[in-house]
Amino acid sequence: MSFTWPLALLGLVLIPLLILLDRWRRRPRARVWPSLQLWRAVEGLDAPSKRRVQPLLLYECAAVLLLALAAAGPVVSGAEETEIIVLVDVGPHMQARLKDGRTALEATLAEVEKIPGNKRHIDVDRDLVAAATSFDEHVILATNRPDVEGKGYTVVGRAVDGHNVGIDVVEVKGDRLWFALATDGPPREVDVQVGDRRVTVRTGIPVEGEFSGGTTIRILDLDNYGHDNECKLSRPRLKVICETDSPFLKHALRVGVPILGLKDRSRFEPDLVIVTTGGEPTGYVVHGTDCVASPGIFDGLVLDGCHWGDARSREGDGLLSYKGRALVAWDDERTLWLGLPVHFDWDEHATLAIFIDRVKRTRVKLPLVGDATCDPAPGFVDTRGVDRPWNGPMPTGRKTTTDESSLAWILAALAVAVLALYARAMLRA
Amino acid sequence: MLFDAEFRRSLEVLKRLVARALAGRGGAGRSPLRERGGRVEFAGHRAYVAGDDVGNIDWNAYARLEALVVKEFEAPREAHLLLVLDRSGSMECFSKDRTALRVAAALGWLGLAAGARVACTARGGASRWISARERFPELLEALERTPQDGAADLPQAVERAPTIGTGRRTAVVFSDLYEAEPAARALAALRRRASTVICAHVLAPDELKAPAEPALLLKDAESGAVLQLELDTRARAAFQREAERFVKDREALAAKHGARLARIAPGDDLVAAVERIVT
Repeated sequence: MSFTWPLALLGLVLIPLLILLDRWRRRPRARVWPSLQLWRAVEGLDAPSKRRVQPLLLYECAAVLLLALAAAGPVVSGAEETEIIVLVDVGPHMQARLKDGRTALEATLAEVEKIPGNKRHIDVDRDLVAAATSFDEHVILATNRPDVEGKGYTVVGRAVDGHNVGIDVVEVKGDRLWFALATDGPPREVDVQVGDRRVTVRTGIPVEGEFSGGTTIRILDLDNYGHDNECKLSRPRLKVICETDSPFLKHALRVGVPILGLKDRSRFEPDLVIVTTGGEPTGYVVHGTDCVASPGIFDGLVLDGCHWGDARSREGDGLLSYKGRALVAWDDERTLWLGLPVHFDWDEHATLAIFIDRVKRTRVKLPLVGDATCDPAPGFVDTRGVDRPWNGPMPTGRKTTTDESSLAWILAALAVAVLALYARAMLRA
Repeated sequence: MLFDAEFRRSLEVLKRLVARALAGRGGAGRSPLRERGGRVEFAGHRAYVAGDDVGNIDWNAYARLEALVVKEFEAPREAHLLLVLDRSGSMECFSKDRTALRVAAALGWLGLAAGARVACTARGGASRWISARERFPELLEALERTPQDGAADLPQAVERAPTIGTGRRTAVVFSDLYEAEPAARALAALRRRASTVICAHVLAPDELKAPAEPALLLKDAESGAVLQLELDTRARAAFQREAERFVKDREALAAKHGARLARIAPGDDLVAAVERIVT
């Protein structure tokens, strides 16, 4: 059993105080009495009472105990499970070194590891990330040739059909790094060479299964590509909600397709280039599409009162950098969103990994991994510290689950019952 | 102040009540106090001798007998009211002593108003007989002067009382009667000296009820003995039973010695308390 507000257990110190108070209350009061002869008959009866545990004191202590437990918000194992979705930027900028020498990614993952009950997460090969930032040439092993073919990359092979739902390092050869994009099956090596100096890789992680009925998965589309917004009902009773921050992509949300993940075949559309026009995150023009993002798309992605921090744009070079601060927000009573610093730009698209796990309902505190000394992408303008409305304090709202709430009520009811007994005993006395 | 303005107002009420009661009984009240003093009873005739009061010569008899005879009378018969006060330490608790003094004073006032002679006595001393209503302040002073003493010794209080003359004799004992045996002796002694003995049993309701405190350190008001108790429901019930038994025992004790017992308590209305005693 854990407690939501363990500080409330400090109320238990009232119990020894009650005992002291009881002793003080039971101290003999000196009284002059006309004659003791009537009391002589009582004298023999009072001795056992000295040894008897005082029921009133027991009632009082029990009431305090129950009230303190109820106020502490006890969480019984098994009743409080909920999923935590962690979005981690594993892109190149997460290799920025923090003050303690770790990379931002390492620090982030270390924090993720601390999440209680984190039994299963789909990690990203850290070597991949390291390699991606250190090699000039990359080889992408595409599972789906159209993804890369004719998109400015040299395709040296053809991938098997499938969805790019995983990625792994295959081999390092000279100045070439070979990647494998995993499909539904094991990674396959395909002779594909990408001639561009940079490669953008996104992974979509299947999250199907392992969810109990009634669990809600909430998928947030983090970019402007409607093709990413596919959700799957892995179980009949699984409720999936897809959301997008892009108003013009909402129509693209689909639920019920086989794969839940972030697919980005359209990532490599050569004509899909974002050119910022305002220099401030107040409007973006997307060329090659008929969509114009409305202001505020990246101005702090608001989710139930929490925001994703800074979103910055820079005119002219197509850079849209997103650096969020960690956020914790209860999207509903059973879903916790944890956001960790994310870098997001169009030139070096962030690689996103999704950690989904079931953890015990505890208050997860993830320290800000901010203050990283990032090497910004070329042209990136660091506006951290600029007073923006979304730089406000981290929302710390907390919602109770039904299970926890009901347990607290039960305890409170018990406390009331004990108090009733107490009152009755007092009346009898 | 023991005999304050309220006390005097109560006396006025008593005066009206008694007058009304006496009127209702044709002036021949059955009150033990209703025995007018100074009345002379005709005893007979004897021959006049030199030196006899000529006012006592029965001239009607002289007309019939042609001899001087004088009327003889018995000595005057007066009603007596003796107030026996227990001024022990136990009576100081719960203001019982004050209650007893006030009720005794009211009774004394009634007695004086009815022409009786009134005296008060306690273990530490006694007053002389006081007669005439005008001397009521003397009675009050005597009552207040009766010394408070630690122990109850009713027999000694009775012994200290002034000699009671002939006529109707009433004794009223004010006590909480905690000591049964001395109380019995005192009542027996009074019964021999007074035609009517009334026992005003002064008990506070609170002393017949266990206090609310769970633990007590009780000190006897007279002996100073100490008793430490922890009270639970059972002990409280036992005390209650003992208190009820005590009250019944004292009623039986009074009845056994031909005394009538009237319960008075601190906080009682003075007029009502007096009525309970005299009726």
